[in-house]
Order: sequence, then C-alpha cells, then structure tokens
Amino acid sequence: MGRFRIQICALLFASATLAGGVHAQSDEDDVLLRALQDEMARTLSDLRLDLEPPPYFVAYTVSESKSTNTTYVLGAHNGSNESRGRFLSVVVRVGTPELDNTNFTNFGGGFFGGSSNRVPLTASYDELRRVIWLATDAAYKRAVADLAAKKAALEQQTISDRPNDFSEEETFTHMGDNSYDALSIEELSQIAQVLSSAFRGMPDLHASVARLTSVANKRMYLDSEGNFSHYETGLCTASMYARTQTLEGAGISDGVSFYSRSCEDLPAIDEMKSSGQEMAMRLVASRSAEALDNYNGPVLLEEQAAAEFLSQNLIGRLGAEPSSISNNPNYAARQRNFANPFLDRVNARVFPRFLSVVNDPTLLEFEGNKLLGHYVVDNQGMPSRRVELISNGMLKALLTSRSPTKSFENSTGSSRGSSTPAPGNLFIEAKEGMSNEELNEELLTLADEYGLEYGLVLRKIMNPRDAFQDPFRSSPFQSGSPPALDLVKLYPDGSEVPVLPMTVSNFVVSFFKDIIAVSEDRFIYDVPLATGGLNFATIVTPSLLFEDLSMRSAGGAKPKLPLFPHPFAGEAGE
Amino acid sequence: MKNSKNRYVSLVVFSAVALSISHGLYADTLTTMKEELDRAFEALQSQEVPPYFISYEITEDVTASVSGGFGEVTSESSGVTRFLDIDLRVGDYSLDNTRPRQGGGFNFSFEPPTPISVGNDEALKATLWYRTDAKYKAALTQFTNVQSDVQSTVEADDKSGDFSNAPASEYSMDRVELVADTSEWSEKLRQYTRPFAEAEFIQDNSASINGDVETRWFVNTDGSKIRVSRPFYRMIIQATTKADDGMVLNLVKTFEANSPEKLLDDEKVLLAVNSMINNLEALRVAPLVEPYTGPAILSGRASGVFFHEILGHRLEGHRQKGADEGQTFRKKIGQKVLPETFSVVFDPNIPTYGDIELSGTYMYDNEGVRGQRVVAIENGVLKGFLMSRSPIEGYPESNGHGRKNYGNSVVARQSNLIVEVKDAYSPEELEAMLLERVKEQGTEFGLYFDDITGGFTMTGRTMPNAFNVTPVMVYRLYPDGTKELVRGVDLIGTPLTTFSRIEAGATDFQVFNGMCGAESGWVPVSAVSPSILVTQIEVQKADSSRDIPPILPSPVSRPGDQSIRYVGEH
Repeated sequence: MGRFRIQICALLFASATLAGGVHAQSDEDDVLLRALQDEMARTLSDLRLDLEPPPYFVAYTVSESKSTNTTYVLGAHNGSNESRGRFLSVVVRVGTPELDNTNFTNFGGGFFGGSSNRVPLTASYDELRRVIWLATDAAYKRAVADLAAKKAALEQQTISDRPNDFSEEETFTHMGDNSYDALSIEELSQIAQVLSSAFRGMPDLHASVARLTSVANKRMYLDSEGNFSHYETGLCTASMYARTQTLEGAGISDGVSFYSRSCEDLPAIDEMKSSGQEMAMRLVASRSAEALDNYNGPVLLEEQAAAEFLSQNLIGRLGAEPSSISNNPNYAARQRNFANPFLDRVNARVFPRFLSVVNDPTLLEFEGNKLLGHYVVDNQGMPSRRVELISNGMLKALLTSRSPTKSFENSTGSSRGSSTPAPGNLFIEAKEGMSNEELNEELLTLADEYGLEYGLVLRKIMNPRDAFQDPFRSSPFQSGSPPALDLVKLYPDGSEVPVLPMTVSNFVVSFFKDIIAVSEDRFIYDVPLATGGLNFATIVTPSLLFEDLSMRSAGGAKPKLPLFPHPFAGEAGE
Repeated sequence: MKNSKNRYVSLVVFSAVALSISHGLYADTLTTMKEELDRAFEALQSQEVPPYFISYEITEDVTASVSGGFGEVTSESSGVTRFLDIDLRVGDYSLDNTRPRQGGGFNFSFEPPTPISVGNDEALKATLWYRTDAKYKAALTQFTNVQSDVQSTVEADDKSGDFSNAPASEYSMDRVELVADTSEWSEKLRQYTRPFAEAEFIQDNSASINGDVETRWFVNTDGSKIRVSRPFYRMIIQATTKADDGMVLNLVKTFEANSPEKLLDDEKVLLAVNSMINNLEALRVAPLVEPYTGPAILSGRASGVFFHEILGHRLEGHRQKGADEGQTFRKKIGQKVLPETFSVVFDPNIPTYGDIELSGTYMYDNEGVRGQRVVAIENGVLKGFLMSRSPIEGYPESNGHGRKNYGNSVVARQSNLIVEVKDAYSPEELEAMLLERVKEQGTEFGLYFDDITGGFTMTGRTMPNAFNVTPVMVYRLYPDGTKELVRGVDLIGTPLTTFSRIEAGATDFQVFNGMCGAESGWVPVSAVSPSILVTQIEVQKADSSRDIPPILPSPVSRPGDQSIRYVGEH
C-alpha cells in the first residue's frame, strides 16, 4: 500500500509578549476587553456574599464562532447550515489555591453543566457588562455552594496527600496575528457535490455521504492573574462515508476525512475524490472477504492503523488529572475503577525500551508537513511546551492542566477543552526502525513461531468520528470498539488474503510493551480531540509490530441483504 | 473586531445562496418518488407477507433565524434540512403492523429521522430504496409481534381496523421561497428589544425572529401525489423579572405571520413590548395568590388554550381506542358536554380570523387527506372526533387531521379550534355575571385570567386525567369593581367537571396561535375563542425559583438605576 498521508496543516501563529499590559486587535475587541477588565475589577473588589469567601481567581473566555456546513449524497444537496454566535464562559474560584471549589463533583448542588452565556455580536459595552455581570454572579454563587459542599465532604473522608487545587504559574500573554473566515455554503457545496459524486454508479453501496464543514473561531482569554490571550483559529473538514453489507449480511462501513485550518489548504478536490473512491471500492471488495472468527498472534499495524490505534488507546492515558472529590461515595468508587493506569506507572516501563514518546505542540511543521496539533496557548492561558513523556520505554511525565496531582505540580499547558489534559503533536520516536519489507519478514517469522501460516496486517482502523457521518445510523450514539476495516492475512510467499473487519480485543496498556519492531518511516495523522471541536492532536508514528494481539470478528447482527435490487443496479451510473 | 462587518454581510449573502441552492431542483421530485414507490411496492409483492400500503413523505425546511435581547443580536443562523418518512404497512386494513400493543408492552422505537437528498434521481431513489427495504423488514417484525399480542390479550372494546381507505389526491402547490433579510431582522430585533435594556427591573430578555418554509412531497400507493409549501414566520419575545421574594416572573409574547412584512409590524410589536414591560413591573409588586376555588372569567386567549388543552386533545380520534388512554369522550357521542349555547369546530381551511392569520391552517394532512371542517360539538352536544386514517368505531374515515412533525408517526391532531357561542354576552355583561356568582358563592372575589402562556394535559389512565395551564396575567375582581393583579398561579382541574361549570361566553373573540407538542411531534395550531365564565375553577400556587437576586448592582448605568436588588426597597 502506498504511503497515504492525511493532509496536515496549521497556520503560523506568532507569539508575542506584550509589554505594558494587554490590548486587543481592533476597536471592537477593545470594547470587549474593556468590559471584561472592568467587570473583573469590580468582581474582585466587591463581589462577596456575607460570611462567604470572595473570589480569589476569575477567568473569562469569550469565543466567537462562525460555522458553515453542507451535506451531499450522490451529487445531490441534502442539507446545510450556517450559524454565528459569541459565548462567554466564566471560571470563579473561591477559597485558596490549596483548597477551593474545583475538583469536586457535587451531587447535591442541583446544577449540572458549565456556564456559557451568549454575548452580543457587536461592541456594546453596556450589554457586554450586563452579561458578564450576571454570568459572574451565577458562577460565584455556584462556587460558594460547591466549596461548602466540598468542605463538608472532606470532613467525612480520609484523603492522604491531597494535592492543591490550583497551581502557581508564571503569567503568559499571547496575541495571534492570523485571521480566519468560514467558507460560504456555496463554496463548500461546490466541493461537497464533487466528493459525494465519487460514490455514484456504485449500487453495492447502501448509503454514502460527503460533508464539508468550515469553522472560524476568535477567542479572548483573560484572568485575574494577568494571563491574556487573543487569537483566531479555523478548521475545514471534508468527510466522506459509505456503508454496505457483506454477502453474509454484516454491516460494514468506512470513512475518510481531511482536515486543515483553512479550506484553501485542503488537498485538491480530485485527490480527495480519488481517496473516497478508493475507500468505496475497498469497501465493496471487502464484501466478499474471508471471515476470521478470531486470531491470536503477531499483528502489524501499518501507518493509519498504528496512528488510529494510538489515538484510541494512548492519547487518553497521557493526561494526569486529580481524583475528583465527591459527596457521593458511589461516584468516588466508580471513578477509582476508571482511573488512568499510567498515573501509577510514573518512572516505570510502559513501552519497549527502544521507543520514546514526546509531546511538542510548539512545532509548526514536521518534515515539511504542517501539524494540526500545534498550538501556542491552552484553554487556561498557559503556554504549550515540549514534554518528554516516555523515555526509552519509561514513563517520565504526564500532561497536566493547572489542577495539580500528587506527582505533578505544574501545568504543561495541556488544558484543551476536555477534563483530561491532552497532547498537541505526539511523536513516537524509535532508536531504530525497519523497512516495510523487513517488518513483513519479522511478522512472518513471529507467525511461524506461533505456529501460524500467516501473519495479520492491519491497514485501516475505523476512525470512530467517521461513524457519525452515517446518515442512517440507528442511534445518535455509536458504541463499541471501532473495527479494523482493511486487514489482510500475509503469507510467506507474499500473497495477501483480505479478511472481514475485526476488532482488537481485551487490549490493556501493558500490551504496549509487546511492540517488538517499528518501521523507519513515520506516518502523520490528525485526530480531533472532541467531535466538532477545533482542538487537534497530531500523531507522528511508525508502523507498529505487536508480538501478540487478540483479534476477533467485528461480529454483530447479520441482517438480510436488501430484498430487491438497487434502483440503478446494472446501470453504469454517472 | 475587525472582520465583523464582512462576516455579517456574508451571512446575508449566504441566505440568498442557500435558497438558490435549494430552489429549482424539484420539478420531477414527485414523479421520481412515485416511480420508486411503484417499483418497491411491486418488487415486495413477491414476498410471503407483502406490503398492502406504502407512502413516502419528504419534508424540507428552509430556515433562518436571528436571536438576541436587550437591544443586541447574539446569534444568527440559517439552514436547509430534508427528511424522509415512510409509512409501510403489512397485513391488511383490519389488522396491520402499526397496531399499538395492547398487552402492556413498551412500544418505544426511537429512530432518528432519515435525511434525504433531492436534485438527482440516483440520490433520491437510492435512499428511498434502502429505507423502504429496512422499513419493510421492521414491519414484518412488528406484524409478528402484533399478531402475537392479539392472540394473547382480550379483544379490544373498539373493534375497528388499523387503517382506513382514503381517496387519492393530486395537488401541486408552487414551492414558496423563504424571504429572509437577516440584516433587516437584526435591526428590527435590536429595535424591539432595546426598551427592555432601559427598564431597570428586567433581569433577562431574549427574542428571536425565525423564518421557516416547510415544503412537503407526498406520494402513496393509493395514487396520491401532493406537494404543499408553506411559509411560517415567528417572533418570540421573552422577558423576566424577579420579585423581592425571589419569584421569577416571566412573560412571553409570540407573533406569527406568513410573511416578514406582516410579522415585523413596528407599531404592534412595540405596543406589545411596552405592555410586557408594564406588566412585569406590576407583577413584581403584585400579591402572591393563595389556593382558590370559585368563579372566574377566562379571556379569549386564555379560554383558547383552555379548550385546546382540555377539550381538543381529548377529541383526537386515537385517544378513543388506545388501551392506555382515558377515553374521556368515547361513550359520550350525542350527549351534552358543554352548555347548549356552545359549539366547537376544527377547521384547517380557514386562513385567517379577522385580520389574524391562523397557524393551524393546511390543505392536506400528513396522510395526504384533504383537511376538513369537523363539527366536534354542536349546541353543546358531542358530535364527532378528529380523525386520521386510523379508524375508530363509528368513524371509519379520516377527516384530514392526521398530523405529525417529520420523524414521527401520524396521529390525529388539532388544527384551528374555533369556539362558537350563541346568545353571547358583552364582556361587561360577563363581568357582571361573574360578580353575581361571587356574591352567590360567598367568595371574596372572582378571578379574571387575561393571558396564558401554555399548559399541558394528561389524557392517559396511569396518571390523573387532569390539566394544568399556566396563566401569567391574572386579576382578582372584587364586588366593588376593583381589579387587583396577582402572581404565582396555576389553573388546574379535571376535564368533565370543569366543562360542566362553563356557564356563558362573550362576544370578544381572540386568537391564540402556537406550537402543540404531542406523540407525533410539534405541529402548529390555533384556537379562537371568546371570554368564558366558569362558575367554579381551582387554582394552586405555581412552582418558582427562590434564588437570591444578583449580589452586585447592575453595572449598566441608567437614570435612576439602583440595582435589581434594591429597586423593591424604594
């Protein structure tokens, strides 16, 4: 399989430290900034309930977003949407950095969810002040209630070495100098129509869709410690998805997505369309692939499969977050069951000795490719920084926000919109790698040791985000491990036999130590950190040869094939 | 914000672009749908249990919206969606897969609506084909369950079948274009909500201007081919204040029209805004209501909601035979249920009442049946029900009230409810009658319900067969003629008892337009009703937040502004 590379792009952010305080980029931004600063000053000096502590930290984030999207099926318009809005989120901390209202799950508070408030799209100082005032008031009251409940809960619990709730950091200022705008629906439609037509004339596909999304976001962050950031970012996504059934009836589907910060940086339309067609043809071909119920033995994860596998099994383990205190004992017990196993493995071996893992969001490019995982400042106003996470197989550090843990006191600038700190650009580095031919030979040698006639090669693991493109999904939420879609049995004579989708079963993080060889080439892969969000991680990884993995058939129901033919069956299509 | 103006302009341009994309694609949509319908129906006849009926309905919504409050715009959006609904039936008219289970089984079968593309035959037919196949397979499973259910449960009281015949209709209305000048809408929204920013006691204000053109394409195996298209423009203005005791007081005013010009009537809207502000100011200092039983007048708008919730839902045909339904009126055909001066009709064919457009107007329902005038109550006597193509004993045919929102199954729903009163009294006479009842019953005062925001009713058997409507402007009327505004009221009761206490109606008809939500989704409805006198109603205290007001005074300096917290102390 030729080297297929997902388009990578990041715009160059210029970091600028401003002397003499902060200022915004335009008159309208200045009005917003002045409203935030004035209300923050009033909050810090005056906001207090009798007998309750005042705020010791306040942060405001104003995010203005414009988004457009359109969906096409087989060259025909399905739907589209355009929206524009501006939101304020407020963080208020009461107490002290040693013990405050955060890191607490309050089951008696009667309030769930964060505070997000719509703010005017125009520079109306009075109305901005009014929204900020009411949002801050609500956040402060919740903070006071949470702190009281947290103290009450702590009195009933024995917690040794409880870390502080908030870290002390140097202040950071960042002003981005790029601007973005969302593409118009008409412009997106021109692309989507062509991409969706990639599936025309393929009656073996039961459903297909192409979706184009363009988002422009402008963000201003300001907190009471003096951290300030103001920048724009964007995201353009082109996704294609198709589904069919195997000849036995099992549902199989696949998708391909292209991401860039600006739509201009997407690959050429023809290139994207060709990828979609290749994906669809592979999917149709796999309808008659051989079924394999289970497999135990060496598995080679090539390129996308390796990167997606790491996305699903490693990224979520790289963030350290403190155990949340709760006034519900059942919640605390459940949280312990789902605790990150890496938290207890610092300075222990978690990878083979020849592998290291580094997170470096400060890099704009790698080998001439722009990296979507690049960012300058995180959601808490902290600068991104390079962190060596795994060195020669030993876990040395985890990514952190400003919520300290027992092992890590300071932020790595990794607060990226979810509760768990997340990486930017994640590099899997090997002391030495093999050529593809050498890897195949190694796979077959291992297979022979396991008494197998063949080794298994995974070339594509479904990106679970692509499953959301399914126009006919039976549930708004898909569950279960995404299957490996493109996998083959590799025989010693070099022949390959396609196999129906299988999933890696019962994988635990200690199995990473079973990686016994990697490729010398590395694959670059962008991963959205949350569906629809603008934060990405980029994984740069070699292909991975696991000595022993368990695979089993993706299984599931096998509904009957369609009872009557596709309306264009037997026709050439377009 | 250096790019805001450009971005704003692009949104306006987009609205036009989006419309042009979605316009002009559909000349052959009905024909294509019918071709695939016929092909699928014929192909499936070779199955052991073939379908006996299939219909396709595509619903397209072209929308635009501007939202904000306090004189500012906070968001703008626009979009196009198209969804497919398939009604596929196996069995026969007397017993098919759609019959609700009688044995207490849970019928939950949530299925996200199916998006569908139009514009080329391949896209349209491919989706119709795949979803018809899936729907047929699901129908077979449903039918097996239904047959099992029929075997294992006692015979239902109502022995009517599951589906009725209906004549085929052909009708093709020109597709209406959405007129959405979001730039003008934004300016109007700022203008209409600015007065709230100048009223110091208003704690929250939001408003939205929405445009929606719904176009439906419908075909069925009876031979119907229908395309209807309808614009619907709506503005919602909401404002909130807080009484000194923490009670949140909320007023909502909605405006509906079939064109932006009629919707955005400056004089009318600003008058309503002014009225909302004055009413909220008065409500803040109004006394709290205590539980009360006694005579009352419901204004035209209030009685419209009252009749919709309490009477209308109980006249929906399927509620007369559902095993879990209360079946309030099933055995009352030919009996007196209201005073003989009262009649109630449902008529989806009336576009306006006076100069007010009615939201519950349509030509064809979601089963392709022409909407018909239904005299439900004539001179106080119950005459009939609202019918979809699901028959009930004595009512074997649809009268064009099978309605739904996309993604749901059709049931009988209301259209334009119109209360007609013979020998009506003037409003003054009605008020005098109220005060007479006050004296007769020895109560201190009567209640006058001026406005109601909405309500809900429970028609099933497992919950109390009761209603609860939410009045927002309620007055005590004292025998000496004085009026006193009160707050915190819910109007509650049970239907038959309450109907038996309706005594008289007035000449002052008012219109209530709104969206009604039930098991087949949200549908637009109207109620036209005069003020009515009820000899005895019951009210209870409304639930309300008791959060304290904001701690700091408002940062917005206005003449005389102190703060929300301290206004009440002056």
